[in-house]
Amino acid sequence: MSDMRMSSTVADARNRARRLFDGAEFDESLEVAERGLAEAPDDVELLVLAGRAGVEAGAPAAVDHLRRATELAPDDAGAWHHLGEALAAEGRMEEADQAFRRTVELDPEDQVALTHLGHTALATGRNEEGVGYLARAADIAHAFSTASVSLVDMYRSFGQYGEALEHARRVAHATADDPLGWLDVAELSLQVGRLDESRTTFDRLRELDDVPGHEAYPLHGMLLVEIRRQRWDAAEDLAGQALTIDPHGLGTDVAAFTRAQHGEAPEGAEPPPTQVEVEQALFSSLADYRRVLADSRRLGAGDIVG
Amino acid sequence: MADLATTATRAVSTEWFRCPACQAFVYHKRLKRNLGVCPECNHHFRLKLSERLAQLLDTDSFEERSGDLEPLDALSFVDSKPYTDRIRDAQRKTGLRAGAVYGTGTIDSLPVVVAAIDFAFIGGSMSGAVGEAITRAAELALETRTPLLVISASGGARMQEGCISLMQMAKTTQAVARLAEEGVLFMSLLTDPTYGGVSASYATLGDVLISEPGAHIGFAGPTVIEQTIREQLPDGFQTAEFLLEHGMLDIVEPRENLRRTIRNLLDLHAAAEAARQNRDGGTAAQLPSPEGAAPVTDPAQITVREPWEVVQLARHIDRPRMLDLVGFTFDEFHELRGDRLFGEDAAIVGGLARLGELTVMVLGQQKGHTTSELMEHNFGMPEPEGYRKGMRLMRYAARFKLPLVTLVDTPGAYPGLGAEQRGQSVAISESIMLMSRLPVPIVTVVTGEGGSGGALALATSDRVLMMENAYYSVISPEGCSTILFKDASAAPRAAKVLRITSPELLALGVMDAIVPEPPEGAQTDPAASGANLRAAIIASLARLLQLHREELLAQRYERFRKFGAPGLQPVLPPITGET
Ligand SMILES: [Zn+2]
Repeated sequence: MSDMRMSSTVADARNRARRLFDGAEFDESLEVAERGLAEAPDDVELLVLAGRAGVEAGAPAAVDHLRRATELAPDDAGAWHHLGEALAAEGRMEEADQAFRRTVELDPEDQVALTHLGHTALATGRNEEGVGYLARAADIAHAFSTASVSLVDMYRSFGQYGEALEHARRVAHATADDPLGWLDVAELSLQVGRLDESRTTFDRLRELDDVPGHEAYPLHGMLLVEIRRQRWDAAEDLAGQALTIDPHGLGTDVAAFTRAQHGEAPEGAEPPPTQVEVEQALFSSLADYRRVLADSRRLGAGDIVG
Repeated sequence: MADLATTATRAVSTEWFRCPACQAFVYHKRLKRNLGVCPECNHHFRLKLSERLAQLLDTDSFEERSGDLEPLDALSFVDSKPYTDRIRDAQRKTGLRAGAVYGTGTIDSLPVVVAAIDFAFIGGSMSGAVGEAITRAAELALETRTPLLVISASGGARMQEGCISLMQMAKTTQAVARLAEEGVLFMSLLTDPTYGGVSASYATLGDVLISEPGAHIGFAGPTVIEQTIREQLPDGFQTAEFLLEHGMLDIVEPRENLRRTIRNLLDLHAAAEAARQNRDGGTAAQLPSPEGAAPVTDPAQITVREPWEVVQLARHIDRPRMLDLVGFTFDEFHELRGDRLFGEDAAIVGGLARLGELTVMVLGQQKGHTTSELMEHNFGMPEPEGYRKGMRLMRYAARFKLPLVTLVDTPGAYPGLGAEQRGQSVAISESIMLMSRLPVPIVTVVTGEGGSGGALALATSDRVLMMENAYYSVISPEGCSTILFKDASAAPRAAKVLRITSPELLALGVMDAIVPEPPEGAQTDPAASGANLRAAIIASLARLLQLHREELLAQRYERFRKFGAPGLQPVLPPITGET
């Protein structure tokens, strides 16, 4: 439809709907766009606007508008991209996956769509494929991207600690305030035997995380490093520090273990725990730490408003 | 907040979140639609303060009053860096000035004063500024007699503020104590995580303590009580569910229900406040007009049944139980839980209820009908925790001048080892004493079994009624039979001589009136029985609400003073025929 023939009401609806959308007035934007669609039901731009506003407003019609837009303009990567997001917002992962796949076919450099596609693949159980898309997205982004955040977790779960560490470093440096990024670096460098990097990162984490109650977690990480390095004096010093925070918890066992490494007899009747037991307990503490930090990660991101 | 918000950097900008509980990747817009709850496993993600307020309050209703609050470096504290730098970092990171906000807002148009802590600001730790926001909110609530809602999320004390942080525990506590003294509602929403100086001060002192599934709440932080290698912590340790089970919370509600739950509490308290402005103890005008049959005060009008038959009817598995009757009798009921001491005992159920426009506190023993219900409620036999929960709710009723209605249906207080260790006798005696001087009208109806002290602990009231086929006794007929007749099978005879039926107890003055039942018993028509119960409660309250506090307490004293007093105690004629 040419501008000449386009009725002024439709042009007006597009402009107003877009302005309202940009001003985050999504209900109003949707309403204006839908009124415009009553005049021009096949206007792709209005359909996309109505769909996007509908996604933000939580309107069930959003998917229909965007689906219609992709039928009218099957080569419009943007329309497919927005359809994918609308479907993902509804939890319709298989359909979202198809929409993002089409987006990427039309626009192979759409890094955001690749990231979405990676996640929809992961959400539908195609882990290796998902990781492939995420890796492509991360390559296009060069430095930090959402893809890297998920790649850290996925590579870790595959046991590919080197790859995981590489992305963890990107994430940690890009989001320097987020302790979870540094915990990943610290743990993964421990896994690949980069003990100096691990120790430095746990030190940094101890400095960074100022949440009361978290004090013992980085100490547990440092203890793991020193035990791996068999630096028993350093380990004993850290165990002593852990004891001051944590008089009845893990610190007691770790102190008993480090004392035993010096050949000291145990204080009580019980034999000191073994290195395997101590490491297991410390790793499990770090797993708890990961959970509490993961719970807070969202607090630094975009709003969730009901 | 606005000026800092624009300069705040985002720690992570990501569109997909991995659920820490089930590891599913969740698209952020889906998470947003689901109020920040994982659609796969229901894990409740932590919310930012702005999100929380937006979820609970009416749109655009929040008017912040804490714009001038800022952390104060009273100690000129320096660790690896000056505390002032730490504050600046937190302000940049969160876009907040103080780590907590307070102001006014509405929930479904009902006014509320709100204070809230942001966990992202130095772990929500209790600074002077955080304490100030909460205290000022409490003072505003007191001044305007507006309910207070405080939303907490905190790792504990702010070490960098030393003893000034510690003193916030006292400062905030004394502020909410004044609300309790003056009967202004304080609702405390404890969100994940709430620890240390916050959980050990104002946050656990609300009239109602509310939390979300899976929220972590405790005194010592999670790592401090980290299990040693050879020790296991119980499942769900320090979660909201764990605390609920141990009597420390009233309500654990999924996020989607929180706004409605808080709204209902506000609504019930708005009615109570309206009554308070009018007269102490609610107003009779708020009561609905009764529709069931009127209570009976003439023993001759009650169908005479064999006492043993009455016992069987009172115990009938289909007889309407406390919660059934609450459903028929009241227009709304919102359960409150926990004794705040040791445990939640489901043998006693209590909560706020609405009767017409009148807000009342309801308490009673619950049994249930099926085996699993009976087990869950311990066959209506309360432990000390049940009575202590009851007393907590009685004090709640007194604080807000809410009439108290108790429904009694118990074989007796639970006679176990643990119950003795935790003071079953003391719990019962204290409950009787508390009721005897509670400065609000109390109506009790014995609806099924009135088992001795375990029943009386909820029945030291201004008006004591019983349903036609209920019984009330100092000992079970079976127990009496064994002890006095040396023969367990003589229970029917014991039932007869103990004089436990409604017409006999009415004649003895133990009962004030009888609630009629359908001819074959309440189990044949629970709804009709409920309507009669409702009518009886309305009639009793209508009279009691006319009395001033002093008259009420004097009459209650006299009511129980007369039992066994020469010249005052009616005496029954001997039973004719064979016993
Ligand atoms: Zn989940």
